This record gives sequence, C-alpha cells and structure tokens, in this order.
Amino acid sequence: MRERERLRETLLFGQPDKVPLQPGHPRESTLATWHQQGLPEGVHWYVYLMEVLDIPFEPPPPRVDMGVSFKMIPTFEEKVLEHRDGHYIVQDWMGAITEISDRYDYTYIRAAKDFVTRKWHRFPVQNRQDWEEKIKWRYDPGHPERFPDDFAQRCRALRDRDYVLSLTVNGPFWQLREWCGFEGLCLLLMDDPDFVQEMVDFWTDFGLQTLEPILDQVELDYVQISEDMAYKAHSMISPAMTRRFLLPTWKQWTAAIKASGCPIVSMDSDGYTAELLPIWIEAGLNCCFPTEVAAGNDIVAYRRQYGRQMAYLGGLDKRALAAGGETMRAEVMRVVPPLLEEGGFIPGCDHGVPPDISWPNFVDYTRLLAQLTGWL
Amino acid sequence: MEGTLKNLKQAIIEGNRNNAVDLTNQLLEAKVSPKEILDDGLIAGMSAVGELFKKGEYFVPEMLIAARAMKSALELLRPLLVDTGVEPIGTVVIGTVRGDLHDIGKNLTAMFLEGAGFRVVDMGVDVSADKFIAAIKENKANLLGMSALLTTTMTYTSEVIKALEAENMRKQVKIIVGGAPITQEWANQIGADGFALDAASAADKCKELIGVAA
Repeated sequence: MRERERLRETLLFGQPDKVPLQPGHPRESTLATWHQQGLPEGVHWYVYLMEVLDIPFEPPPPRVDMGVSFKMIPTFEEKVLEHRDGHYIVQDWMGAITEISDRYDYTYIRAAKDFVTRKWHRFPVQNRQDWEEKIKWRYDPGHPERFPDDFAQRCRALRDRDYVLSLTVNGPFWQLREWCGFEGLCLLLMDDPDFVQEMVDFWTDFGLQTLEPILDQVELDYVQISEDMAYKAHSMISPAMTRRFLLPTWKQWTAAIKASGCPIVSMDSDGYTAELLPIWIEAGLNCCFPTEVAAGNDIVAYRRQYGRQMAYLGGLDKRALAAGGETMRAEVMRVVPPLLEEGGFIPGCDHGVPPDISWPNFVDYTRLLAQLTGWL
Repeated sequence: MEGTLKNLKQAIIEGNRNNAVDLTNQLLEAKVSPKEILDDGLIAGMSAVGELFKKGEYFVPEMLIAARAMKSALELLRPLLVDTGVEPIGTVVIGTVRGDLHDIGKNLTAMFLEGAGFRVVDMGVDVSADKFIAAIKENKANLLGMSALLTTTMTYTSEVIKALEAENMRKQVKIIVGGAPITQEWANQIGADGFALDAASAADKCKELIGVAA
C-alpha cells in the first residue's frame, strides 16, 4: 500500500496492510539532546531511526505544497520591545505582546519549533474598535498573497499523488484566543457574547471562503482543525458554550470538507477532552489528537464508549515513554493492542516528543510500536 | 443584613461585579464588620464557585468573572481589614518554576487562594529557588505553591525543595505542586506536602495543609 491509501484505511477503520509508524515528533531541544545520545548529526532522525530498527524505508517523494495562507496578511512587525532578566518581551507576528526566555527569539513564536512557554502581556483585540481597526481587515480571503500565483498548477500536480495531502486550519476558539487572549476571550464570552459571535461568524466565513478554492480543485486526505481548548482535567469552556459558539463552525466546515471528498476531519486539542468528544462527533469530526494521558484522558475508555465514531492519533503517555523499560512497555501494551483491534488508531506520543525521552528509549519504544503495527 | 450577605454571596457566584460592589458598600454602611462581609459574602461566594467548578458546572469564563467580582469587592474591604486587624488565614508564595513562563493555571489558582482568604504573593513566572526562598522569608509565608507546564520544567520543583532543605526552611512551609505533567506520585517523590489537580482543589488543599476548616 502507498502512504495515502494506508492512512485512509487506518483512520477509516478499513484494512491497512500496516498502521502508519508515527512514534511522535521531536522538537529542536529534543534533537539537540538526541545528538548527544547517539543520533548522528546531518541525518534526519526518522531516516536514522528506520535504519537502526532495520525497517525498509522509502524516502518520500518531493511533495507539492498548496501554498495557501490562512494567516493575517499583513502580519504585525515582529520586534523586541525589552530585554530584561533573561527574557525578551516582544511584539509577535500576531500583534500580541509576549514574554519568552532569551534562549529563544520571536521566530519561535511563528511555529512550534521547540517547547517554548510564554507569558502573554497584551493582545491586539481588547474591544470592538481594536477588532475593526487592527485585525479584521487583515483577513481578506481575496488578498493577492493568500494564494500562490501558480495555485491551479499546483493543484493539477496534486491530483495524481500517492502521498497524504493534509491541511491545518485554526478553529474559532484558537483563532479568537490569538486575537483576544485566553483570559480576554473568556471574559468576552461572559460580558459581550454578541461580539464573540460576530468574530466567530467572521472566522467561519473567512475559513470557508479560503477553503473553497482548495476543496474545488483537489481532494484532501486529512484536514486538522486546531483548537487546543482543554487543559488538565477540564475543558476550558463549558459544553454549552462550546455548542453555542463553536459547534456551528465545525459543522459547516466539516460538511464542506467532506463534501469535497476529504474523508478525515480531525481535531487537535491538548488537555482533557472527555466532555468535548461527543460534541466533536456531533460536528462530524472523526479523528482527534493527541489525547494526553497526563490531562486525565483514557483513550481505551473513549474507544469503548464511542467505537468507530472517532479515530485517534497519539494517546501514549510521554512520561511513560521517558521512563522507558517496563513502564514504557506497560503503557504501550495498555493502549495499542486494544485500540488496534478495531483500527482507527495511529499510536504515538501524546504531544511533541520532549527531550526527557532519551534517544535509546525512543528507539526501544519505536521498536515495540513497529512490532505491534506490522513493520517488524 | 443576612439577606444582603446572601445576596453578596450570590453576586460573587454570578460574577456580577457591580452588584458585588454595591452590596459590599451597603453592608459597610450598615456597619457590618469587614470580616463578616469577607467570610460570609466573598469567601462563601468563591467557595461555592469552587464547588461548581469541581462539579463540572463552572468553567474558566464563569470563574474569571466571579474572581473579578470578588476582587472588586475585596478592594473596598482591604484597608478596613487591615485597620480592624483581620489576618489572612495564611500566606502563600506562588509561582511558575524556573525555565517555565506559563501562568494561566497559576493565575487561576491565585484567584481561588485569594478567594479562600489567603494572602497571595504571586512571584510570576520563571522563578528560581532563590527567589522563592527570599519571598517566603520576606512575607513569612507558611505555604509555597509551584506550577510547571512541561515534563522538562517540573523537575525544578524538586530543586526548590532541596534548596529549602539546604536553608533549613523546609519545615517552615507546606508545599503544594500542580501543573499539566504533575501527579500525586511526583509530589510524593519530591517530598511535597500536596498536589492539586486544579485551581479550586489547590485552595482546599492549602487550607487542609495548614489545618483550616474547609
């Protein structure tokens, strides 16, 4: 089977020849640590991992990137405002005033290059005036820089691919949090729900208008909606608020995505997601990641409860993987065989692979995973 | 005035800041003691909010407006509490540990602690052991709360406890830890006195640790 068919068969509870081997994704600090622990420099960690495990590995073909941006255009000017006590206080590309360790720079805020914790000081949207003057106008679906000039050509090239083509879009909770901040958004949900609804409606329409040209021209395999709407032991907002403000967007987007032929719409949310799973299912979502164990999630129980309504990626406790040995083995055996019984599961670390998972432990864990998923 | 106190408690539960301020002023004008207003109005209200949170009926937005109402009312009471010699039930130094700048959980916990009657000394983020120790000394704190988001930063909670032991200060404070990767097992392993799953539980745990009735 080729990669594309294998992913679809796996996540749609079909008959894959093997389950995709995706043990997890290390970030910069993890790779730096691994280079001290046996991973050579100058080689991709996954390629070397397959070599160590003696798993035949075909390098992936060059991939065509659709090149579409869902981000604000233009972005805010990134600049350092202050350097004090080992921290930078920066204006980031989203217009937020953020504090980070001076071990990093503001480019680390653009994407999840490493495990960079942040303290937020101020967000661009405090009120309706800010929304109108500072943010809303930056989201024009028809902006000339939103789609590459050769978009049609790229889509034609993608039609005969055998690799997975996926897309990630910020959901309304994530996006409004970028504009207003977490506390700001939570207060607005109580103080001015109409304003929140206005921003949600705007984002829903913007998302659909930006998705439509993509969905019209190419069949995606997997769309991920990113929300990160839960934390330890709890959802950030109530199921009732979720249904009122977020469910309609998810429903509209999922319907459009699936109507285009893309069969998998996945939710990315850290934290405790038990209260949210039934709402995601109601929206038509059929996959989620990462199902963090430390947050209180029990992926085995979720499978028992929801069956084939939900597929999962991730689900393996990063703390157990770090401990290695029998602790790692017990965790993998707790989760992987029961879920693979029905399928609809690509096991992996329950978030980015942190540097306290050593390279030798990561190799041992991936070896076990490979044995359980048909690669060894 | 009993009815007004109950209404104040309800205003906190509902997160109605304006009502909370108005009712506090009414009670003060009626010569109700600041301590009674604090205990039976504000703390009672935040305690009820904590229970609603633990039951899964309140979430972060509801908690934030309740805390906001409580803070607004508390600002009216604070100088009067000092004047009348009302002491907080304890003093908590709280912070996110060194190497970690995440503060949302810590901030929510601080709100609940204040709502429970504690004096809270919030050290912010990326706090070193030295700074925790200095704050405990300066504020004569009897509680220390530490938060960490990452598996790689949570190990610093152990360093702080060792530093307190080296200063012969370990017995001076009860220590509670919390955050995404933290468990009761971790708390036991590092010799902390308590672990809290969430902000509301943290306030209860702190009261338990210093022997104050819940």
